Amino acid sequence: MNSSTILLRQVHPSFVQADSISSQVFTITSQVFRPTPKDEGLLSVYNGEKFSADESHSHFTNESANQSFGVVGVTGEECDARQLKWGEDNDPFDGHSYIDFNGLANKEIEKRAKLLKKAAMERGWLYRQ
Amino acid sequence: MPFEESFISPRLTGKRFEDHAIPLELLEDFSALEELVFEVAKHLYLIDNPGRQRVARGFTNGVSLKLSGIEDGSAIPKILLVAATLGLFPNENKHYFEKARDQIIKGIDAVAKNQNVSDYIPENLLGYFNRIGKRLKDDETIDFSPGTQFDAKLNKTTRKKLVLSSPKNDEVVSEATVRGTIPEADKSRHTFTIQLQSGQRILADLAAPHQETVLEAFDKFEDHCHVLVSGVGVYDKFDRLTKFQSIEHVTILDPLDVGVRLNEIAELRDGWFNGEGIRPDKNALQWFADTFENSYEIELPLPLLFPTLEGGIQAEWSNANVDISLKINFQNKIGHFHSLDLATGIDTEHEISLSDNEGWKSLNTILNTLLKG
Repeated sequence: MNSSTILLRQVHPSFVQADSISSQVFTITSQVFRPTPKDEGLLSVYNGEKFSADESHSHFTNESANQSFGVVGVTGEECDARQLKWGEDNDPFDGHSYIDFNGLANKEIEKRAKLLKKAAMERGWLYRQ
Repeated sequence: MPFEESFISPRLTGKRFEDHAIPLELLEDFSALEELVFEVAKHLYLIDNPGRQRVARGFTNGVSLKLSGIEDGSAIPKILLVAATLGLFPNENKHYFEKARDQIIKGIDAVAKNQNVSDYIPENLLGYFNRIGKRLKDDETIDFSPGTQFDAKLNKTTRKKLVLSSPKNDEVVSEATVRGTIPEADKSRHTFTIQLQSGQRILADLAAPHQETVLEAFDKFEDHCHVLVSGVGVYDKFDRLTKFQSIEHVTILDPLDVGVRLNEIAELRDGWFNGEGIRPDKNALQWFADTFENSYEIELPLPLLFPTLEGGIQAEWSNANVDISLKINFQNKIGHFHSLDLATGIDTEHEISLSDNEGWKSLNTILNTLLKG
């Protein structure tokens, strides 16, 4: 992985709205880039060098409880610019990666989630179901 | 001179009647009340005259109920019993109309007290209550005997019980407003289908005044174009809307319509976010829908709405310069406001109470400044 590697993030169907207005316009919530309690500060992403967006979607939704409307992504460089550590931990599968929000106050998490959302939306959908 | 006499003065209570006026659409209900009074009067006459097959000729000719005025409190329509010709009412006939009124009052009272309504109103006439009070809203009541020992209050609950007290009735007619898409429209049969968020489909008549709007929404079905349909609906015993009896308005909704989005969020179940996520409370969502409708400045752009894992919702607004979020906690009705200036990276946060007007005013002002300024 290097700073240009795209970190792929699955987008839950409830975190998309107004996608139908235009194929060029879509809006996801900044919650897409907020770790949930289960994440323990480490937002789960896929290593874009080991998974295409399509492959990551299939891999993710293979678990019956998991839903994904599509896949967006940010680069390691874009995380660096927001002072967010990132990396690959290959746990629980090869290619599993993370963006680290640990140690940040809520306000800082919200700010960084919004900045990552902006970068991801400018890049557009990498895969849509 | 026509004969006229004060007949009944029901009290209408609810927000719509607080200005001591009665919406025109409710006058239709009083027309149905007149029909019920006449039918019950005929029934009583035949009981007293078992040898007769039908009532005496002219029993109801020239007789009517008329609205003579509206008194305060909240609104009390003063209804007169009027006969066109002096002397039409020999004592025994007038008595039937008055007794019919009393029986109707006792019938509503019986339902309120979980007693047998058919002791007072014949079962075959209970269907009239599908017309009387069909436009009552949740907070509204028509008290047919205010200040007496009778609890003759007609509201959505007692009305449903009255209608369904007859085994012949299995449907309740009531005002209905739904949001949905239009997946089907049939010009030859003059029908169209409304698909609700739950997936339920409702067939409705395609009347000329609404045809253009319905067909436009049908053409845009693939774009998830939603409409607001209002009129008089038919509900089954389980309060499920089964069809529209008549449609009064069809309106194409904004793609970001808050009601549509909240309906979508209301369908979520516990564990909705890949095993995490609390199901939002439907009453809380309704509270937000009502409060938003009354308090959010109409000129402001509509927010995007997303569920939160904690069982609340998050409203979001953004443009090229700013990204704003309001994370709403339904437990305390507090919104956590956060805005980020995308050019400078400067962000601010604070809490806003959404249970009072001042909080909403503050939100409207901030949004005006950030989104329009």
